[in-house]
Amino acid sequence: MKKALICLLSMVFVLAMGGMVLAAVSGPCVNCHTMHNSQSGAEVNALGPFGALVNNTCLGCHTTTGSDPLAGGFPYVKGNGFSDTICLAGGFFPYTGDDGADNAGQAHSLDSTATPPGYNSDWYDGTNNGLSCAGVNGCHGSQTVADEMGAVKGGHHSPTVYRILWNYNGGTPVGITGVGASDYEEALNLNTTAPAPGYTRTDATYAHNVYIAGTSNDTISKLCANCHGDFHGAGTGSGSPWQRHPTDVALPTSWDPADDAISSNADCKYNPFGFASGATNTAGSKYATCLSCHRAHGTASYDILRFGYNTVLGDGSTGQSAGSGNMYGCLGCHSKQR
Amino acid sequence: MAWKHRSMALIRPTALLSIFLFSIFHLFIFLTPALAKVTGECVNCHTMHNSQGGTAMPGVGNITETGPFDALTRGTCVGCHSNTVSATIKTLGSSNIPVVFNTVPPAAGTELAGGNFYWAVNSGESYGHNVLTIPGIVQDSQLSEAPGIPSPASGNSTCSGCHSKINDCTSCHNPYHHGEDDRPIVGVRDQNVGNAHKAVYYRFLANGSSQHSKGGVIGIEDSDWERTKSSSDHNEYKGGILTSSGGHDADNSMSDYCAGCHQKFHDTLFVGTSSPWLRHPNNYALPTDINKEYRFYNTQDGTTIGPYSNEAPVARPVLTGYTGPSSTVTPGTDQVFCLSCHRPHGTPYKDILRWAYDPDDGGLIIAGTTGAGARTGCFICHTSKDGV
Repeated sequence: MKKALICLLSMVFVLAMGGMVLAAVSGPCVNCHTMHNSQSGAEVNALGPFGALVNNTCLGCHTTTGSDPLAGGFPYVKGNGFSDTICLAGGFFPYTGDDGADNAGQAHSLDSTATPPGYNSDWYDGTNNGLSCAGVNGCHGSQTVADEMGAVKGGHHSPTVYRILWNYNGGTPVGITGVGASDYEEALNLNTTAPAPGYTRTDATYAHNVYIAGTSNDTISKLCANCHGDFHGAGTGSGSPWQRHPTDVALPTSWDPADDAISSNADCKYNPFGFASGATNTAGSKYATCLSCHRAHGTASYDILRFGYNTVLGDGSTGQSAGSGNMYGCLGCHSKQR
Repeated sequence: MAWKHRSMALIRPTALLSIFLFSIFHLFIFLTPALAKVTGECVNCHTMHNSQGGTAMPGVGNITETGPFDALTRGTCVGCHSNTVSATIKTLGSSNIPVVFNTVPPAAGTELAGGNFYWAVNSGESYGHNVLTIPGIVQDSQLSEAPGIPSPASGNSTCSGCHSKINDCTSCHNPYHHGEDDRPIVGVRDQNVGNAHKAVYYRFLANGSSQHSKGGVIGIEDSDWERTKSSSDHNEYKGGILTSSGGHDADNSMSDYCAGCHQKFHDTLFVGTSSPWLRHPNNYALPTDINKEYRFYNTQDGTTIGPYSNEAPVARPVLTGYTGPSSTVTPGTDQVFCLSCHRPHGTPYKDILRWAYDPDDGGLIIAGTTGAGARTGCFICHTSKDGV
């Protein structure tokens, strides 16, 4: 069987299923799979064999030595030269030096055995095994399954949930819903820059995700709360004045964005709103979600934020300043503080 | 015995001519059986002194070789079972001989079940087993031992002593041509009665080594070695069990026999015990789960299971009760096994596969395809991975 360290797919096609747009892989099976982890008398991958007969690890496949996060239609989460402009919706891991350290708070620390901040559950086993991509030690797939490949089973060829993400939900996983941008927001990130104060918000023109929020169990914030439970629900308080930043809560109707029927490119990149379960576009009531401020994998800003926030830490950003007139980031929602 | 009756559909004789031809046809069949246990005139295959008319007997094979040969035969294995023309069954006197090595491309669509060494000689070492007595085959340039042989680190350091190369056909076959084969299921005779080495197994697949006293393979042999084949005309292979004793399970299955050399591809320690598998499972039943794709094995319409596929055959864990080939495949019972994907002698495809897997090899196995590769090869079992 062909030896391959990095999977390359010829294209990714999209299945439309009841309003959810899910990407199923396509391309020669040999690009990703090896039947026996053996070719010409040698192992295809010395780290293998891997479950589901794949020829590499998750990161092994989803890492590129190039700079295109969607080369050949294949989504990469780690690459040479990735940045807040050159990355996909989930963000990016550091190309070098991601060895379980804190990554300066700019990315989820793969292999770290640290307890997730705000963790208040009992399923996570990464404190023993290290944070990984999927399963009981990670984010993707079913968090009731120990094997990573087993956890994401079905997610590549027959996807039924958003980005192979599930809410642990007390051991009875509930699939996360949402709409995934066909290009994983590559064009949005590449072509949208932080707007100047007072910019005119227009309808989004680049493909973008639609995140689900609210009280149902399928919201993207419920996924984050699997590890960061104190930062969601009761841990944030029951209303203003909040004790932690609320998520899965609708913006007050008196706020500018709540009244605004427009979600601009800048919103989708710097402060994406969530929408009620079942939404397929960015119309309707706007909610705060975890991803309104953060990306999942990593960014160039501390605390994996979509924008610079804490200039004291010296992340090189101008931060978010009350009275600055900015209409993105924190001030994308907090219109009274602009 | 179950004889194969050839079609006479193209002939429209008078009634008398029909009877005459019908009789001649059956006479031919009875004289030229296509069975494991050979029949026919002894002179077809044997010479007592390797001498005739003052000179050595000419070989009957289609390769250059000089006797005398073991068992007073008129040629080696390869000598008899080779052909310089494309026919994959040849005649020696009244005996039909299955050809496993054609020196020209085998006639399309007539290759026998085990495949053909033509490809190993002409396409490269990845296209067949490197049997060193086949003219044109040399020791594999990249393999110093059988793929899947456990490494010394796993406590099996002695395997390579025997399994480093395939010296000749007897590396896999124990060719007792005149043994009793108890058809239709060949190989079920109690091998512990009398001289076990005289027993006949399916396609003579029995080990003659004292290292592995587990007998051989059981199966039902297609009467023309699948030169002609259909969903109801084919070999029946025996399946078995998948354990941590790969290659030594004594379940008389085809896969366990392959595992005699390729143990890591058949042992739960290396393959896994369930999904997600570490290596492709074999001797494992097609799942019946309604959420899985395998219940639509070889589907022709996308909604119902199809018949037995000669392209991706299944094995039967139990052959008792079978009187011949069946076109029915039963998920939950019938199994994927080594020969679901491979042939043992040689094929036109790398890794001795039954189809091209790699696009570099002309492969059409592309996830999501709606083209010519749909419902072929891997997709015969993995029915949801193509695009139809």
